[in-house]
Amino acid sequence: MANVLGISAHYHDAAAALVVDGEVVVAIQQERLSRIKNDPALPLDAGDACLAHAGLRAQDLDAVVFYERPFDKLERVMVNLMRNLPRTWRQFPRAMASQLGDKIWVLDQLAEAFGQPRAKVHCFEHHRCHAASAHFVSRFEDAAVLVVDGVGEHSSTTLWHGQGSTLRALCSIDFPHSLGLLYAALTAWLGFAVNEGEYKVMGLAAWGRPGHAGLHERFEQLIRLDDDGSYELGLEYFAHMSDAELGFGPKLEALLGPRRPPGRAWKFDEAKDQHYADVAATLQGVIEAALLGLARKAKALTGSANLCLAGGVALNSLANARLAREGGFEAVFVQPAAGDAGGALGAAILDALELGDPRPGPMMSAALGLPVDVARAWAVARELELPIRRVDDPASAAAQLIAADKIVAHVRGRFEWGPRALGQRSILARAAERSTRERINRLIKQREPFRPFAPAVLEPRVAAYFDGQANDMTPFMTTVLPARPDHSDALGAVTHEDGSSRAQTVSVGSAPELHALLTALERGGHAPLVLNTSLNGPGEPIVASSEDALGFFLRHAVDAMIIEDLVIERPS
Amino acid sequence: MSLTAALARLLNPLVWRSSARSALKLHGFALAEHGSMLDLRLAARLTPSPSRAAAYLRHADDETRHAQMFGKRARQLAREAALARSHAVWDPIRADSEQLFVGLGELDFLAFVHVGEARAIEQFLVYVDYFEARGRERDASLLRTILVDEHRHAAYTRSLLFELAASEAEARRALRRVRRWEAWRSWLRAGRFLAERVYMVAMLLVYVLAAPLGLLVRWARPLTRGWRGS
Repeated sequence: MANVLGISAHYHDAAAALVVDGEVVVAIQQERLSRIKNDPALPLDAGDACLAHAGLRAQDLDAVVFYERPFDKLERVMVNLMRNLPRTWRQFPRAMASQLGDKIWVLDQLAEAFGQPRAKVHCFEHHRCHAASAHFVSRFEDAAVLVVDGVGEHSSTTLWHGQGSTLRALCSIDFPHSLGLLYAALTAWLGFAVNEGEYKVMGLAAWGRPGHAGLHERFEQLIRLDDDGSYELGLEYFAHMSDAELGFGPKLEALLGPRRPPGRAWKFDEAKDQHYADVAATLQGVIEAALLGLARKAKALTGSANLCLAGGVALNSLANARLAREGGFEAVFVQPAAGDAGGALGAAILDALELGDPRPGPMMSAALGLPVDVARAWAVARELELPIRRVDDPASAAAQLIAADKIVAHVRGRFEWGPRALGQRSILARAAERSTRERINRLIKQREPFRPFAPAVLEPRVAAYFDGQANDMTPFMTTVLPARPDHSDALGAVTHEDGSSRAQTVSVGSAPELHALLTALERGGHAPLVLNTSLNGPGEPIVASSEDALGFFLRHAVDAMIIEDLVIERPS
Repeated sequence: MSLTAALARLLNPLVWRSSARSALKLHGFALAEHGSMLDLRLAARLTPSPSRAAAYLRHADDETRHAQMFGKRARQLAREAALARSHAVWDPIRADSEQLFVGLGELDFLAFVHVGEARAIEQFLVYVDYFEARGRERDASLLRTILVDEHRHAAYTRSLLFELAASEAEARRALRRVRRWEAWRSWLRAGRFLAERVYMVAMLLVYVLAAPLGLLVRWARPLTRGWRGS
């Protein structure tokens, strides 16, 4: 029986996860504590917070595990820099400083930071950690596992076979061919920040016409999909081998047109912006086709009825829905932190298994973070002279506010693991009126107009509002469901342009506080669903602590905030 | 006149000489305000006192607003100057936290914030004079608006500092300590700046010397495509 701390860091979205006696006890992204969006720094705060939450000291740890093999990564970086001479002259000094000055020493840094002998600090291959983070917390005994991201040490796509507590590598596609880097390059070309704007590209896709004006033919030059499920990038269009920031070269601009200037307001009645939307839609189609090819290969190699996905590309909920429909598997699972943060979880589980612990139980809830300090929230809110009161039934109080068309910041339970707000740190509102969505956008989120908001619905009622059933992904918002047109009046604020909704199904097990709220809404004669969006302002990480929540309330015009059994209502 | 004000007055014509320069300077202010917001949010979480946490949260809220105001004006000026869209001014305002509360402790953190706010007041007053003299009312008005908050921040941090310190002498010692620490930090930053340049030159030299390796690598490690291990 062991206490194992997993760590991911140094690229983006660093995290720590603690596995105790084979169970995932706590998992935290560093950004939630540092308040720096996608913070890549070594997550020492998150690691300490994991230990504190579990009541452990550093000396109680049996191992600290990193989600990548630093020297394998150094080798790939060096080989790439040398292979692409002289185009890499700008990248070379920076890459060397980052690798030699910092990244290759990460295991020693972890040993020192957590007071461990160096022998207790281990590492696993990046994609193996991703695969472990998906398979070992799924409910499947036997599953094909597909990992698709930018790049790990060498691989950008890997297939695995998960059986019980084992994970067997099958085959891989190596850098520089990469679906993640294709997506990143187009994200930058569309004027969004890489590693952050990918959701925007997915949202934008619904507004475009896939393949319009010869885009399919042009994309065939960017990526070739082979019959065996593999793919190959047209490398001359990309720059990720020589430019770590932009990812695309002048040939891509010659092929698709000039990149969109960042920050410019979107106007779909202008031909230029419609073209950008068409490119996003074509890209989405290509990614889905590529993933279907990979899924077919995975099915052929494993014969499994189940598929687990991990890696940054697995956060594409539209593609996940298509895989669930057409991938040939009975069930598909994507855990909520499928990106790099999830590597921390996989690393911890892999080491715990090696130390003889059992495989963890299936992940039922993403509420793996820290709770709020209610007494502190009360004291600080009083000092801020906010109109705070205590209620006996916070779920009913929240339901009444939402039914009265108020926008409610909902801070209850332990915060979520992964990029989605799943009711523990959410902004909730009525899902019916489109105007609510516009109000939230104008007052708080200031998102691009094409980005959708998601609904959360009581699990047994999902079929009443959506064409589909709850599945392994819906509790974590890692897939979409088509909204039922006959219920469009109840879903006005949460239905995307293409008729889909990134619906979260809510059960007592997955999000008990939100479940109680939705039940209270239904009891009051309202639809048991709400608009659910993350509790953060533009460019901010999602709220974690009570102080973050109160800071949010000061800055943003929500009508009310619920912090456990405390209610703060803004005077109208 | 203090050294800060004298320096600001001396550098005014250089710093604000064009829309592009002004945009860069204001973008820098936006980043500084954002970094300060992160430090204050952390302080609000870590201080044992709810009343100080509330004060830090209010201050952080002001810093967020200031960052947005500076950022917005910087982008307006960047537009006027037709600054390339790849320029940092167009990026979202993101700064790193120095975690000063953790590094300095609450007393020195308060002293640090107070010193920073007082310095900002001196600088901003000089800038306001400069803008008013040149009819740049928009920029003068921006700084005047922010100055109101800066005065309040300087006052409350001073009062909290003297409240938290065991004695007035202890508070003054903290102020002297952070001024020394800031000077030392500036020295280190200058050293790092220089070292980075030397390093870049050295690495470019290494790169040139390693050129033959490029040929070797292309031969020994050709690009792979398709499945490996299938």
